[in-house]
Amino acid sequence: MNCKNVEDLILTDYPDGQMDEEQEKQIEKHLASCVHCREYELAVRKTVIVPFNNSERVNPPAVIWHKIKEQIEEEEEEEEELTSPFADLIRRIKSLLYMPKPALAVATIVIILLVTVSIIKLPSKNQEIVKVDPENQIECITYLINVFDQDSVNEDSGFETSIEEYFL
Amino acid sequence: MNDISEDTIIKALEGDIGSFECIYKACSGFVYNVAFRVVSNIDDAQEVTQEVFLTVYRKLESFNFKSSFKTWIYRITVNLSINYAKRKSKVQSRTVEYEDNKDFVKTIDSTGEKIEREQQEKDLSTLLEALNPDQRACVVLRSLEGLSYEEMAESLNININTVRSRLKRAREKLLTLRKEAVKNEL
Repeated sequence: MNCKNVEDLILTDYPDGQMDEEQEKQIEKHLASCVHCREYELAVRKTVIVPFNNSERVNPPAVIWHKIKEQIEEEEEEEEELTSPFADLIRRIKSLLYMPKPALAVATIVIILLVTVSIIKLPSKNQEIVKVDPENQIECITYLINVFDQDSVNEDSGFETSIEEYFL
Repeated sequence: MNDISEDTIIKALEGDIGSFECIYKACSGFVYNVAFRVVSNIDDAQEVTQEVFLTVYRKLESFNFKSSFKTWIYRITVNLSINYAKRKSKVQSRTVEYEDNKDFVKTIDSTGEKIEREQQEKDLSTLLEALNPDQRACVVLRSLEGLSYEEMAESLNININTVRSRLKRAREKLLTLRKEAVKNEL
């Protein structure tokens, strides 16, 4: 056994009592003849073994059990509700109304988009009407001018309008 | 840990809260102590202990009666404690944890322990806080709970040589820390 192997065992199996008698004897033989390893063993024992041997154990407060009991009872009540005669009916209704979160999000976005598009589209339709109106107006004005011109001509013959002329 | 009969476990499995309380009484001591040493403060240890027993209750039907019930509970305790400590180390500063440890020391003092005892506890907390949660769990199971390497391997779900290497690294780290502290004192 060389010092490196002994050091490894001093950090693990040797202080933890995980070795058989034969291995332990070999380590002790090495320690008896090697000052460096003996000092190392002492430092390990003092620093990382003894402080843990004297550690304090604490008792859990009673409140923990009360909380656990409360939670278990709550969960059991929920389970009972789920196994009641109406539970199946409630589950079916829920499944009908159920919409997974991503689907709900997509539906919301689609609705928002549709509403936005329809709001934006309305003024553009109005604008089309406005574009059409001047043409109609020009046609109307042209028609009225023609009618006015005809009436002006008829005025000379002593009749008021073409309708009056018809009735007369 | 007091022995828990198979009958008690079966009754608890069937929903008998009295039997589950027997399990709690037999195991809560080591669960609480392991949790406290791994998560480093009293409030978190209480939360972890609560979570351990709720997990035990919920998963009792998955317990294989061929293996040791004690090791099974140790495994749940260590897993939850390590996860809790890792999660918390990301969000909480060391200063707060140190404050919490002082509270723990005070509770011991209030029971009439001497100042020397208080100092020992403080040193122990400092040593454990120097380790990462995995190493801490290893040291706690071995040096405080006295588990064999085989039991540790089963509780931590790692092989026995990994137990050795984790213990070795943890103890080397503590030795280095001690040397540095001695140098600073000089």
